[in-house]
Amino acid sequence: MSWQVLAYIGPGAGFAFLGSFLAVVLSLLASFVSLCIWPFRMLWLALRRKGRFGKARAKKVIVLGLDGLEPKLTERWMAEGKLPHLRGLAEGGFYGRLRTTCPPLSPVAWSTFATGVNPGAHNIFDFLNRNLRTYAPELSSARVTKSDRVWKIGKWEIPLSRPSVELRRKSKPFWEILGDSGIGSTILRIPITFPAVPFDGKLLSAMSTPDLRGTQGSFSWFSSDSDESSVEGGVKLPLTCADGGWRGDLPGPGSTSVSFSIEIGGAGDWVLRIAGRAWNLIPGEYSPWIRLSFPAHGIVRFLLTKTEPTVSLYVTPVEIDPENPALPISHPAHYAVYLAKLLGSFATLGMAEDTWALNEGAIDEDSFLKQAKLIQAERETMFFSALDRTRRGVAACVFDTTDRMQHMFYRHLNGDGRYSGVIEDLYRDMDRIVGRALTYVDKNTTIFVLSDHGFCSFRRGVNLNSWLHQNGYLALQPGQNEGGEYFEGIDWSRTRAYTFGLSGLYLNLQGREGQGIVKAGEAEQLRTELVERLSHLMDGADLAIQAVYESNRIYRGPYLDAAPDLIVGYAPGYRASWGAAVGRVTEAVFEDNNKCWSGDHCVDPSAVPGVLFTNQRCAAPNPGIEDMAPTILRLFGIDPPSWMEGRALLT
Amino acid sequence: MKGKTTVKLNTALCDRARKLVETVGYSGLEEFIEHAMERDLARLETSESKEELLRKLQGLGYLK
Repeated sequence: MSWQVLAYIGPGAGFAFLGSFLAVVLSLLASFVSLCIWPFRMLWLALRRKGRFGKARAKKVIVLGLDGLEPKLTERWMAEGKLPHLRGLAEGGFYGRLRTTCPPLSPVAWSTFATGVNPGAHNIFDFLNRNLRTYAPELSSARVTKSDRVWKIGKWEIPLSRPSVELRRKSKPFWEILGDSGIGSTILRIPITFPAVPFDGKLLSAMSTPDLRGTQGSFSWFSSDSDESSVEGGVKLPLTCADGGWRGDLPGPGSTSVSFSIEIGGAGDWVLRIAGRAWNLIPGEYSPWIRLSFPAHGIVRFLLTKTEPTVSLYVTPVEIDPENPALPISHPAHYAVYLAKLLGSFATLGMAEDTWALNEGAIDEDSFLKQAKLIQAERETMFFSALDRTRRGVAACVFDTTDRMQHMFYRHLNGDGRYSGVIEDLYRDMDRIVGRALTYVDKNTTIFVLSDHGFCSFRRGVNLNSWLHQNGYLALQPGQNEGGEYFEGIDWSRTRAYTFGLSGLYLNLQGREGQGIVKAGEAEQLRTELVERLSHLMDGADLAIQAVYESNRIYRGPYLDAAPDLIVGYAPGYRASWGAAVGRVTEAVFEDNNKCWSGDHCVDPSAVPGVLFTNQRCAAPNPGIEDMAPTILRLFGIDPPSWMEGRALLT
Repeated sequence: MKGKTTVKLNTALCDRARKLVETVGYSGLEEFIEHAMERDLARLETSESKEELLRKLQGLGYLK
């Protein structure tokens, strides 16, 4: 008898085979159906678009946003011939200062740009909003809530569904209105577009997109001579000696982390080993984006900042991996994946240039500049790739490197040191990008180059909580002279007004705030009194506050209840102090600002208008950022809806 | 971002609202209804802990 060895084929293999087979069959079927209906879809789209473009003055609109481009600097360098493309645009078309929003903050101004309405109708008044019951601060633009369905295993919590994400900017952006009429748009990195909302077009989110840890950007700073400690905007962590090198644990979301090691390799170069791969690290140079799994997918860059006598390593915040995004950073969802596959990985964090890492000394000026330029290069590649593919409709991109670099290098602007030319070089580089964009402009194309606000220096901080305390409007708990972050130590039962964020002042209104004491009948008088006392507030011989605005006089719309009661227009050189912005009460009202963050725009809007350039003639007086959405709609032959407040500039 | 949910509402009520929403600054009926829901939810929902809210703000360049 001969023995036969019979292989056993269990049911699992059958399921696997049938599953794969079914997937292939369904894919083929879907492709076939898609192919069959393709001519009808194209015909339908063509019919919809034919009607629309028939009334249009432009087939294509290019919007190039340069966040924070300052008119005075632009005008000076245009006159000196240093910005030839912007100057040419101004001479052949139009240049003017663009009225910004009150307050002149990017989330507020870009929301008005998108929707054509004032903050009272789009609900974005500052970076922060407050919980009316608890006074706790919240990000004004998006709400990310953890999944409430989790599987707990010991100390681990595994979410069983994705987090819930809500965009808190209201009203309707112009690209959605265009999409309703079959006119497509590609919207890249316009602030306050996270989460990406579905519409007929493509969108990549920007400002307020969190990192993988759920923060607005937390860097990791490893050092061979430090223990774990918190620094502003990040965490300092130890590198421990191991096997002739150093080892660290990079924190991810929740309690997750990924281990890595660095060592000097055989050729004398530094080698980083992480997630099963090795990377060469050159001191002072950023690594490429490295993809990690926590298991949520993130990307980071490493930078070896010091090698002797101690080793120091900076790691960017763990950003959402565009190739496998954990949160909705684009529409369609696969658009971020497509961009990453086509152009390479890219920064996804809302404010990706790591200003706190420079403030805290984790990186130096040169490393910050390198980081900003890497991010700028990614945006430029993305923008011109979109322009290559846009024959009709809108292609819009906001470059925010202009804003971040002016914040950090304004102190060098009028000096003669090594970095005194950084801002001028930045403006020249933006002019180069404008020149490149102009090569995509033909007779059917309208281009807009604009900034949402200008810039000025930030030399002195004003703590209005301290002023309110000293003048009897805000009370601390008995025995305290100072209050901690976010109103710690404030006695709400005796407080009539308070501030936090960058420009708002709030009444502690009964029936609105959780522990409000100001009666509705007293509010008007209190507002008037504060406006009178704070307008033209002096810091010694210098003007610190130019004007104070009552929100119910400058805003209108359904979200007025959420607005601060007063908006403070600081004089150039001043801003809400770092303490006041986080709700602290200090003994001094005024303080020097000694941080690298030395330029700002959180001042009176009249002091920091933006810029507007276009290749079209424009005779409209005093253009404002709220005019942009109706102008773009009108260029495509669409009447702006009744709720839009701006007017079309090009008639 | 989660998608949209369809809710059946009284037609006459919606017609009344539709006539007014744009005059007060809403971009449409949906926005008006969502705002009405948000206002009531803000009173009813328990908010996240202060520590969690502060953690989410970490790294925002404008704030210490």
